[in-house]
Amino acid sequence: MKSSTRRAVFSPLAFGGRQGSIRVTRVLADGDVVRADVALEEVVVDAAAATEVSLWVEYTLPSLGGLVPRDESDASQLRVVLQAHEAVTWLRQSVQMVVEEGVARATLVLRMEDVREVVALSVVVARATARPGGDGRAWERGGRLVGSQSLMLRFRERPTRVGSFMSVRWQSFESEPSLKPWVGLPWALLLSADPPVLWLNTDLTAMVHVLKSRGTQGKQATLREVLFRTLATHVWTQLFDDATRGLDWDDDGSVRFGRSWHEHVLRQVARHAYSDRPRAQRLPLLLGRAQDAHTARDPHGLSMLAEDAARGVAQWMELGRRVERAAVDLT
Amino acid sequence: MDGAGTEGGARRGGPDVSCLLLHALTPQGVRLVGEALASPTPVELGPEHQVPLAERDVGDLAGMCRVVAASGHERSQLDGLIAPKLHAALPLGRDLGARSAMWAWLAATMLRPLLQRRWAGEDGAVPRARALGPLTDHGLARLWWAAELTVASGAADPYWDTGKFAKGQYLMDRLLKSNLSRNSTLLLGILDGLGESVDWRRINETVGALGVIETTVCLDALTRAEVAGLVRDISRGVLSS
Repeated sequence: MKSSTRRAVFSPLAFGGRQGSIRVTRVLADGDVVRADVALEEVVVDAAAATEVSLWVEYTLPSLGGLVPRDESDASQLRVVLQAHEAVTWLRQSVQMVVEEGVARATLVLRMEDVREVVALSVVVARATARPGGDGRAWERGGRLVGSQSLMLRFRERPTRVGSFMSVRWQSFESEPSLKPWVGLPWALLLSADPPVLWLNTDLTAMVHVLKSRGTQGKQATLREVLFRTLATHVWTQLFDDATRGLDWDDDGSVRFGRSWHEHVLRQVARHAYSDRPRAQRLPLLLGRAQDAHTARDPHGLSMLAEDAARGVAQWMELGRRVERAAVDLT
Repeated sequence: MDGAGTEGGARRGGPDVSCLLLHALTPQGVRLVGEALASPTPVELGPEHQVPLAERDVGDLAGMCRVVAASGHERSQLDGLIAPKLHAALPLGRDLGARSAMWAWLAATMLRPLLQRRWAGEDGAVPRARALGPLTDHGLARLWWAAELTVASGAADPYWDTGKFAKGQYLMDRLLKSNLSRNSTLLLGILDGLGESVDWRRINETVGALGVIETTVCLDALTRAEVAGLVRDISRGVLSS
């Protein structure tokens, strides 16, 4: 076919404003703004537990000079389509994007029950009308002009806002008398306070520098991730231990939680310790095991429960993957 | 066997809605069910044969089986009757709907009568692919997906297009095996374009041609009417050749 049309594939530099790049600029999970970690060719969104996720997606149109005839490069003659695809769930969804000043925008709404692991986002720029005098499918409406590579979208469970029941404070341990026993240590979790307080030691200046750093790439980001996740693992297992020790049961078998935040902690840990069970069964399973242990029907029950919790939290924090990555990046 | 999946079967949401703990057959379960396909009695599944997947509020599955069993439809006409009922009674989402081990479990337990009515041969045996096969072959999964991909939520008759899709077994099977059908707009356009035709050769060649054209034309960029026009165009070429 004689044609002045060539096709081009552009790299989806997720963080850039470059031509041909796909960007996820905003994510809502059930109406709440959630965090989205953006990396090259991948966006990880805190929304696995949501019912519905809305993504604001932008695509910077590449220059079409040399790709299509000059009279066809006007936005009105183009149809820009955002496609979402996950082969395993037969998901194939498309949304027409609105083009303004060289940037195409669309909002993609995904029902999370239609998604399992990874959704591939891609953009196609196609002809909006058939080219007069053209012969062959490539000239017709929908003829492909430009395609992007895929941007992978992964979902993870939204982290619980620990601030709702635990206070996090930065403090010099040297200058705070009540923290003297903790001098030299990176953090102190004081469960005797209500709500509990997690103190972070500002005397360790290099650590503070890493923990407060931003950025998603590089050794510092890798180290920060490992530090945060190690800290979070320690905190959650401590909170879990406190919550299980605070459990009590009435004569009719109904459970009583020792402190107001205990139920929340147990629910979170149960979710990850028993992730192979249906959601509604996880907390009752944990409470049942704790009750058996408390009533001495299962003398090893509390130890097994602690093991389940430690494993579940470590998996939740993706400790294996993060530590392995740090070992590779930092050595 | 009906009770096997109704663990904690407290009713929610109305007299015809119950909470069902869905399971998936394990490899041992698949083996057990596979060996018993010719048997007139259902197998007894133990814990090693099934694993829990998720809880869902479902419609009256037993009642649906009774209605289908009592219908005077020819077996080949049952698809159009079963697909909307099955989809309406099983609000799954595509993640669950795409789990073939769950369909194998449903076919071995509470929906076994449905599978028997539609697919059992004169000897009473259900073909293996229809009981344990992939989504595109499975006797229940293919019907649920046919409805899922064509349902028009909020319409007066949400399953109007499902009826068109289910009018021919070859039409449904050929399209479900094509990636084109995963986009509902595209599928509906194809069905519109094919019209009343159930001629397998015409369907096969048209779908095949669309698959080739998709490499050049972004079919997802077209409206339902535009896809229908394209299909009619291709179909005319198929007929004339």
